[in-house]
Amino acid sequence: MTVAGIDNDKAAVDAKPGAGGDSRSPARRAFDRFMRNKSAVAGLIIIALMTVTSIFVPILSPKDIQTVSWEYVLSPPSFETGYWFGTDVNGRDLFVRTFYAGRISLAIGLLATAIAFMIGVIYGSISGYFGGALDSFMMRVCDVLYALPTLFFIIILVTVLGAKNIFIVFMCIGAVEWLTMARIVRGQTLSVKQKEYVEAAKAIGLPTSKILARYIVPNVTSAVIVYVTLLIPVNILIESYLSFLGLGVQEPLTSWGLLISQGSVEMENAPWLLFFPALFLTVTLFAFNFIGDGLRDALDPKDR
Amino acid sequence: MHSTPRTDDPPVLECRDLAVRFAGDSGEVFAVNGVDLTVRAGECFGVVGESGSGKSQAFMAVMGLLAENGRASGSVKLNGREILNAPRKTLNAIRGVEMSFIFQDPMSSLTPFLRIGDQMCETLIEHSKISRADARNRVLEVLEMVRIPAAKRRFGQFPHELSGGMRQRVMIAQALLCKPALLIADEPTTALDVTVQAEILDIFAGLKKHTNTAIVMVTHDLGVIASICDSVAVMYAGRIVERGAAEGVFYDPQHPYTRGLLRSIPSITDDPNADAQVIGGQPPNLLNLPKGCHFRPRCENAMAACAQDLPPLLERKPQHFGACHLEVTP
Repeated sequence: MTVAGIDNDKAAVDAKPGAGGDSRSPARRAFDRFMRNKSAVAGLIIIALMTVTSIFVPILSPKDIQTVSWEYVLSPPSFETGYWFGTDVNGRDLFVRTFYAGRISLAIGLLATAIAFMIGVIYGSISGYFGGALDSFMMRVCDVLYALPTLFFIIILVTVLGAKNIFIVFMCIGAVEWLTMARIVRGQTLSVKQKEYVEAAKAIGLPTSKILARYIVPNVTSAVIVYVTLLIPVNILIESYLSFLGLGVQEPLTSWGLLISQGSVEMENAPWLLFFPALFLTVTLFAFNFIGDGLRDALDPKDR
Repeated sequence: MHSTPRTDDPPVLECRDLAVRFAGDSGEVFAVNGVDLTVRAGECFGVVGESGSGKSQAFMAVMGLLAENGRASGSVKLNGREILNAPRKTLNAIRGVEMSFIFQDPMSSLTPFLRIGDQMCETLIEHSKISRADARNRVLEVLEMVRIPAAKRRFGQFPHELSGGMRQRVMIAQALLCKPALLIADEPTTALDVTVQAEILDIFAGLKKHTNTAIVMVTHDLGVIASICDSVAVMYAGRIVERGAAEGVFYDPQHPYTRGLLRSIPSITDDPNADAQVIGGQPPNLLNLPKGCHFRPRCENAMAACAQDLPPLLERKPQHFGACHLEVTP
């Protein structure tokens, strides 16, 4: 009986498609699916290259972000002069500036999104899990904040708090962009908390904090992780608007938005000043979107 | 006689006048009403009934796991201590330690993101000051107790790598980790195929033999009851209509509903072309219960009195209770 039982179970495990010998965690399986998606991997490579180049740009080029050259003012891109992307009105190397700008833009994209992610997940899972009056209250707060025009709200925040500190810009964007995240997480939590494993966790006497941290959050993050990757380009773009309006990054630091803003002034006699930052911004946004799409397919293979 | 546990033992679980009601859009619904039952150490107590008879909700109330719109009233004593509507903190110290619950569907009762071993260790570490290594040893010990082959390998696996039967064993093992006095199993075999069902029941039978845990088996499968339960309660429309030792209920049913249930079990000797034996009609709408005996519209023995009063649960044979207006047949 027992021996037969063991054999039966072994057979049952082996017969299950995708189950036999597949000892990868759910996250690992999603990762493997992601890596098979060509455009997503291309996006990942682009972002990685962009990040690495931005970090190591001082090694790649001897020129500094502030080095001015009176001989080459508004000089077009050329290999002979050594100014691959040309120079701006002050004779500063656009190549160096574009990558320094990349540091700021990528950092804003990642940090502001991380802040939005943390607030959104905590807020949304608490709201969804406890439900009732607390949920209604928390969601009405969300609705009220939603009603404010995002950009307008960020501009007010930045103006009030002062744009001198770049971290305040990060915080302001993050503090506004968590709303959608909180809604997604709440919705997912509402469905996950009905699952039997949450009931089972209650039945073994786990405290609410542990149920939230170990049973709810891991099961809802897969739904927001896609939104997170799509929020990064949105935040980069928001920072660009702010810089364009003069409220974002301040000189001597620069960002893609600021470069585009400055380039647009010289659009007619020095189009490269607009072209290169815009190209980098666009490519980055595309890359993040490809990664987001790839993640969505990887995390939910049924929904294609 | 059946090996019924001694009736002078203090009861592990004692429910008195347990009622569960749900606030709905169209008024309040009593899912469970006036349920009295006693479960003693070492006893296996079966609760049988149709879907919606309140059998699961009664024990969800015991565990304190009712849905948000559910309210429980009456009294539930676990080892002599009142636990009904106790604060969550008190319940968390009891759940998983003194009483455990096994859910119906093993496929969805384990969180997909944690390894089997981690999920199980969590219970132990939460409830006792135990080191991870000791927790691991205890988990392996229990996994072997529920006859999981290669327990060491299973420990590091994810739920999706296990079959339904294996997962149900893991659930049982998890429920047993802290050696509870009471184990409530809500249709533990319903979601499994027949051969695996038999193996799971075998594990419960082994538990009964080797531990002193009181087991409550909630099911709609009379075969499950017959194979391991000492005593049975039959529920209909939220009330217990018959209660007694398993043998008494099976061989001398006191309620027409029980008789109908027993008759509806198909037998291998039945004429395959004949219609299946069924209890006519539909389970009652809990929002609009028939006056008098709730079973009257479907009862073949209905009399005038049945439309008037709800029959009380009375002792019709020694230690065998039934709620019916019919005369006791000797």
